Amino acid sequence: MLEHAWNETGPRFKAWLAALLLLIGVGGFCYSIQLGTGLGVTGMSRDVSWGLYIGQFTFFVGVAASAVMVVLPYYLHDVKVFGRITVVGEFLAVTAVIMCILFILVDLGMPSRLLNIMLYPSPGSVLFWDMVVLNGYFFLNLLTGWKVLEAEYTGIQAPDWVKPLIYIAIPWAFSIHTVTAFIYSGIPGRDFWLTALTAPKFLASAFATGPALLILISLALRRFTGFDAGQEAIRRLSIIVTYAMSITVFMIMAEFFTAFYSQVPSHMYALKYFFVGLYGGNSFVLISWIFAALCLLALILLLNPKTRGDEKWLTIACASTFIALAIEKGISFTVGGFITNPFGRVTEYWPTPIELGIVLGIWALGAFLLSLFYSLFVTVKRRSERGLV
Amino acid sequence: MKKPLNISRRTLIKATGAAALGIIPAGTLLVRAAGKPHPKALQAKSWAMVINAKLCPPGCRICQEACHKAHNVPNMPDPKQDVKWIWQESYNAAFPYETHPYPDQANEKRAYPILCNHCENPSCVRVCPTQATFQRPDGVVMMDYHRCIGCRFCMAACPYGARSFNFKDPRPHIPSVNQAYPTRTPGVVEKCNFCDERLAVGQMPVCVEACPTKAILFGDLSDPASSVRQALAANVTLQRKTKLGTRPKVFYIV
Amino acid sequence: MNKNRLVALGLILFVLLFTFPVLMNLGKSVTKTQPPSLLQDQTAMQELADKLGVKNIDEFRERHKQVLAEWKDSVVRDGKRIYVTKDGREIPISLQNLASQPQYCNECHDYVGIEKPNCWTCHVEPKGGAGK
Repeated sequence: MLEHAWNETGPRFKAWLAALLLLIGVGGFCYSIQLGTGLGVTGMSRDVSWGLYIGQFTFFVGVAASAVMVVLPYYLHDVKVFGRITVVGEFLAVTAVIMCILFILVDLGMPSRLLNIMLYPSPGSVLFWDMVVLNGYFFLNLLTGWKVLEAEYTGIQAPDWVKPLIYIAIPWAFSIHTVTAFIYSGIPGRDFWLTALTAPKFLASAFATGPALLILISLALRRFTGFDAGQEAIRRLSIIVTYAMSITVFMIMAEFFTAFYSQVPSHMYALKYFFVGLYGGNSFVLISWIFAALCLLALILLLNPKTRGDEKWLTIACASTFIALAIEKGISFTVGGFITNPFGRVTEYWPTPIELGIVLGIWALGAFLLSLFYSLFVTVKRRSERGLV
Repeated sequence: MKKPLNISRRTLIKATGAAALGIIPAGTLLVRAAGKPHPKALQAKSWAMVINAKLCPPGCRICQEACHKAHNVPNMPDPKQDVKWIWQESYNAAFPYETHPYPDQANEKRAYPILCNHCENPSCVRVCPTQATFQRPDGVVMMDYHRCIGCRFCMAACPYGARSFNFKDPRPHIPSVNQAYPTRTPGVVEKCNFCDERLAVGQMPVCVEACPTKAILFGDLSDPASSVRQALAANVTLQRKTKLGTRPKVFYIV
Repeated sequence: MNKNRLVALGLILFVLLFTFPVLMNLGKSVTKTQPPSLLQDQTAMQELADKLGVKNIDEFRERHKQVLAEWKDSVVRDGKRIYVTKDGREIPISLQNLASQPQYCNECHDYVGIEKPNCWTCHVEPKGGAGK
């Protein structure tokens, strides 16, 4: 089925891929600089020892997990309208997991020793389990997504073993983001992370981010390829985004209450740092207010059924949701744990151009893979609908 | 006569998979060489340190200089990416949960030597995905620089800021390299090792020996007759951030 | 598109890719059919084997990397600084002592066409070393 997918793409698509390849090249070049000099080329420091890379990793684990928001209703609640896009979700998950693994890889000081995680398995380490569940999730989604699509291409039902794998992938999706949250929430002395709310908040924000992205992807697919996910599917997704975004914002507000009503300093530091600056450190103030404004905008547009039902407003709402949560989970949350440092001081962090170049390269790679997957998907759909199977 | 091998593709793939699974954890089962400690090696059930901060003259950096020289700890140009094994902090920085605005004047001027606490319940060891940082039976929390992948999970997990990462090649920033001790490669985490290399050959830690006022005591916490236990029995002492449950093994007389 | 042409192109690329190391070394190995004179010195090589705590040069060749890994684990992880050989000899574990003349390591690694050992990026190279 691959050959048809390639042959049916137009020059515009190929130019898009070429542009992405160029960005991947930029990322590769930046990474080669980092490999040569060490992580000293990043903005990270002994006080803020994780930055944009780990933040992006966290964010994309959420995107990967959120595929379950189309798979679960379809397979467990028989929501038929999602049938057309479960594969879209599964391929999004596969791509997101690849990006996650790359974000971890570029964050390592000794990438050549990556396999030590498997050579010296350490069941006490959450990072070890994260590696296990991420790899499992990758293969589950790749297999099921591929088999379901292949079944559609050949017109022959997918083999029996695919169904159980799909069912396993559902709780597995929850596990990947939970384990990722546990990386943060099980660490003594980082009071911003040390809350049982971290895992549920991660899941809630993932289930807002992912479906919001799926809506944007569906609208893009309809515009550029003619593949229509269907009004009803988009409407249902938008309701999921609305609930998940509301719960996310509620949980963030709950964090504020605990911190500021209790007045325990170490719980207030990070939140103060984000919104008003702390001890002269204020590099996150601007993006934090952008985050807050986008959350508010998204909520207003999503909660109002009129704007939610209107595609133009929905697009804005989904983009706001995605960007807001990309700020929160993609960088702020990670850095917040390091405010203050163990001596009660604030060390500022901001990514360097090289760091941004590497992240851009990985985003481009994600977009590249996703474009290939979706062009394959759309071609197969088109052929099966034309009765070419 | 040899029989022709009759293996189907499926069996071969299965066998290869099984073999691969077998190889993967083999690293952990690596047979340890028969080894013996040095005849003079100092041994203890639980190494610990007591620092009498009252004896630390303001501005003194002798322990830091001696340690950093002995262990090839570099002076990185960017203080944000510096490497430190032992250094000085104010009382407020060392004990952020035990401060108030009206400290006694002597304490306000004092500098507290800060180093890895070699916790009894170390969070850094718990989170390490490769056991590159681990706790020895004598309580020393060690780093295996050959195994560290540089994920920096331990740095996030250490509530004492005791861990440093080699953001860049440290060699050019070591004023004079001590031939007897290795330097580190960029990309690994490092920290105080309670002078494991000296204990192993019968010497006390460098900082203990270098201190001109004998402010640092080092000994076996499980031995009631040891210098550290006697000092603990005779003085009011503090540990850093006890509420976190890490059970540090560096005590401060304040 | 003509499938045969694609297949042929793929095959050529595959062959080139997999013979890349050989192709890169074409014409280089001719000068090295004989081991460097340093490595032909049997007494020096046996001395090296003794310092590592293995029987002979053959065992040195076969097991030196493994023994070095054992040394590292013994010192770093077990705090044991004396290596006890199979025949009961006790050898102080010291990379400096073992490779008091690192040019042996470098020459041999170079001769068999593998990377020079990277020990000396961290461990201080003994005096008289051949450099990195």
